[in-house]
Formats: sequence, C-alpha cells, structure tokens
Amino acid sequence: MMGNLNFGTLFQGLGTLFDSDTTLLVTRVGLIVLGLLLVYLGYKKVLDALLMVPMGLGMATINAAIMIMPDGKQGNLFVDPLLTDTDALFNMLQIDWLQPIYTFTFSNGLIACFIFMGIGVLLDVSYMMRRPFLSIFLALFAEMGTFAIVPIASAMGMSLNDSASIAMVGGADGPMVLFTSMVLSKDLFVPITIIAYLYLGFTYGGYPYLIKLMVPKHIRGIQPQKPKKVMQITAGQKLLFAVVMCVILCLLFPVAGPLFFSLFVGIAVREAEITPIVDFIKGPLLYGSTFFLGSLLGILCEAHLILNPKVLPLLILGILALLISGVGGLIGGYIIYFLSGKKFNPVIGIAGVSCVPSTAKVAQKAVSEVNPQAIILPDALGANISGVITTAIITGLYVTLIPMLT
Amino acid sequence: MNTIGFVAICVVLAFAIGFAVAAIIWLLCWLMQPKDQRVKLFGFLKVFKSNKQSDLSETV
Repeated sequence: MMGNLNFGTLFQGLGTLFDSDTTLLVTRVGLIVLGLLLVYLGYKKVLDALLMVPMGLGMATINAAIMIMPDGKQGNLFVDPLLTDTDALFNMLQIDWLQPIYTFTFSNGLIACFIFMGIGVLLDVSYMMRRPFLSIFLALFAEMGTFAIVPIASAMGMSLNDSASIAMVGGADGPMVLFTSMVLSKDLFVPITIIAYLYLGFTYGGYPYLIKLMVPKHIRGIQPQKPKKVMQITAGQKLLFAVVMCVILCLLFPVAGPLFFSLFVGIAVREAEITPIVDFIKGPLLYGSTFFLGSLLGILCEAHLILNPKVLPLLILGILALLISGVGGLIGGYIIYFLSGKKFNPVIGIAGVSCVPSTAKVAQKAVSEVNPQAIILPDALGANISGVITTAIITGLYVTLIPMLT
Repeated sequence: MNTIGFVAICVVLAFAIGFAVAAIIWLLCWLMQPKDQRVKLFGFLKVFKSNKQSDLSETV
C-alpha cells in the first residue's frame, strides 16, 4: 500500500509543479511571485488593497494548489470556469467550493451589477449636472481607447466580439468590462476581466506621468474660471435624473438594462435618502462583492488558463486602450482650454476616464503639485461621473450592434 | 461593413446619445428651477419679452 507513496504524491502541489513542462513550471512560479507582489503592493497602498490583497493571495494560492484529480489530470478544488455541460456543472457545484459563487454571481454578471449599485450609491451626480455638456464632452474624448482599440485588435486577427471586449478596458470600468466580455466573448471573458482589473492600477501609477508628458507646468497649474452662477442641484433633481436616464437608456439598449438599472437604482436610493438600503449597498454588498470578485479573479489566474496564446495580445491591447483613453481625455481638455481662451485646465480631461474616483484624484494631485491653490476636483468629478455614463452607453452600443453584425 | 466603418458609426452614436443625455440633464435642471431663476437662465427671452410688451403698449 505504501509502495505508491512518494514525494510527488504526498505533496501534490510540488509534485505537479515538477511534473510540468518548463513553460508551465515557469508560469506557475511566475504567477505565485506576481500574486505575492500584488499582496505587497496592496499592503503598501500602491495598488487598491481592497481588490489586490485577495486577488494576489488567490493567484498565489491557486498556482500552488494544483493536484492530481481522480481522473489522473491536473486540477484544483476551487473552481472550473470552463465547464459548459449542465450535468458536469451540477456535479462540480458540489465539489469545488468557489464554483457556486462563480456560477451564480460571476459568470452571469450579478457581481458586476452589485458593484455598480455600490458605485451608484457613492456617486454625487450634482458635479456632473451643474455642467452637463462640458462633462459629457470630456468623457466622450476620454473614451478614445474604447473606440481605437477595436480596429487595432481586428487588424491583429481578433474577432469583432473579442476586439470590442478588450477595447472596453479603455473605459477603465471593471464591471463594464466584465459585462461586455461576458456577453460578447464567453471564451475570453475570464482573462479580459483579470487584465482589466490588473490594469486599473495603471491609472494610479501611469497617468501622472502621462499628464506631465502632455501638459506643460504653466498650463497644469491653471485655476479654472468659476461659472458666474453656480446652479444648486437638489436631491429631487438628482432622483429625477436617475429615473429618467434609467428609463431612456433601457429603452435604447435593453441588453445593458441590468447595468443601467444597477447604477441608477444606487443613485436613486441615495437621493431618496433610504438610509438602511444605502448603508446595506455601500457596506456589506459593495465590500462583500469586491472581496469575492478579487478572490475569484485571483483564483482564476491559474497557469493553464493564462497560457492561452490569446492572452498575450490581450495584455498589450489592454494597456494600449487605457493609454489612448488617457491621451484622448487630455486632448478633450486641450480643446476646451483653447475654446475658453486658455482659462480651462486641460488636466481635467483625463478625469473623463471613468475609474471613479481615481482619475479625478490623480488629476487634482497633478495640479496641486504645481499650484496648491488650484481646485479642479469638482469639474474633474463631473467628467469622472460622466465617464461612467458614456462607458455604459458604449457598452450598450457594442453589446447591441455587434451580435447583429456577426 | 469593415471595422473602421463600424467604429465610426459607434463614435457618431455615442456623441449623439451623450449630448442628448447632457441636454436632458440641462432641461431637467431648468424645469425644476424656481420660476424667477428660470427667467435669469434665459436672459435673452426676458429682453425679447420686454421689447414685445413695449411694442404692444405703443400700439394700444
């Protein structure tokens, strides 16, 4: 009986590691190290700790915990994202401990909607409602990557569905990328979503350099001219805005209805001051969803999945999408700068990239470094919130139009 | 339809819907303003209104 027992079968994580070919071995070790690095960067607050600590630990764990399954193949007891057969899926729901959360919240977009409700509850739309045309203009320019990456990805040989899914990374809105790729690219939605969330840190780390590169110091410090009359936005107006927008956008794009409803119901309960629901959504629901999303994204970074040859182009296109969107936002800012007789700070444009509220904070920080008296945060938040709405519009366009064409 | 054509259509639609959204927001804010402030928002209408009144009074 003890004859079959050797080091590899006793310590199966190590056994499967050394039984693998060199590529798989290097990838597994690399992902374990990357996972630990993400935990460290989250702990040091360089990246968002809320997402990166569970994601990093999940990534390190899943690549360590690969074992020999009863059928003799390598596998794990966490989750199998590739199952499509209903019987096999039903069996797996009783074996893999994260399979129920993956199947019932992740792969149907529920977790994205929960996070969107949380974003809705945190948004104060009055910043956007005070200057709607300016905010929407900047946000549309900051979607440049979302548009530009589609033909670039197609030229690299990707299908229109996959091109549009990876292009959505340019919107810097995690739940929106998850939703779009889930609808359009079922085979690639796991790596695309992982890439999107990994790259959201780029807005913190990379955009300040982009601002310094594109906006000279004397322009960066401009204090935008205050409007002659600041319109006071009441809670009733914000509630009416949420209700009207939700109905109109759902009439236009029913496919993205779950996302629209989730965002606007969050805004609506906030403005209707339904305190117990607001507290529930912004507390347990948002934090719980973010925690499970982070953990699942990490667990899904298993070496076999990451070694898909389609992943490398996605890595390049994802970062390019965010870069082009940042450049687009600053170009939009420059257009307003010239139209306003050089009285507008073009840095505000980058806040149109809808990573709420990171890009608005990045913009304010870049301006404060040059001119500590300059306050651009209200305008930046307006563009930021508009970015969420324009990304939702583009999601609606892509998930509605592309299935008609393909 | 090629990809660039598709993206061009999406850009046009996104800008059209985006500005329609902005127009609706602006209209909602305007409608919910108290009436005296509404007139201030449309200063040019007030001017037009006063001219019209004076014309009428002259006619009467």
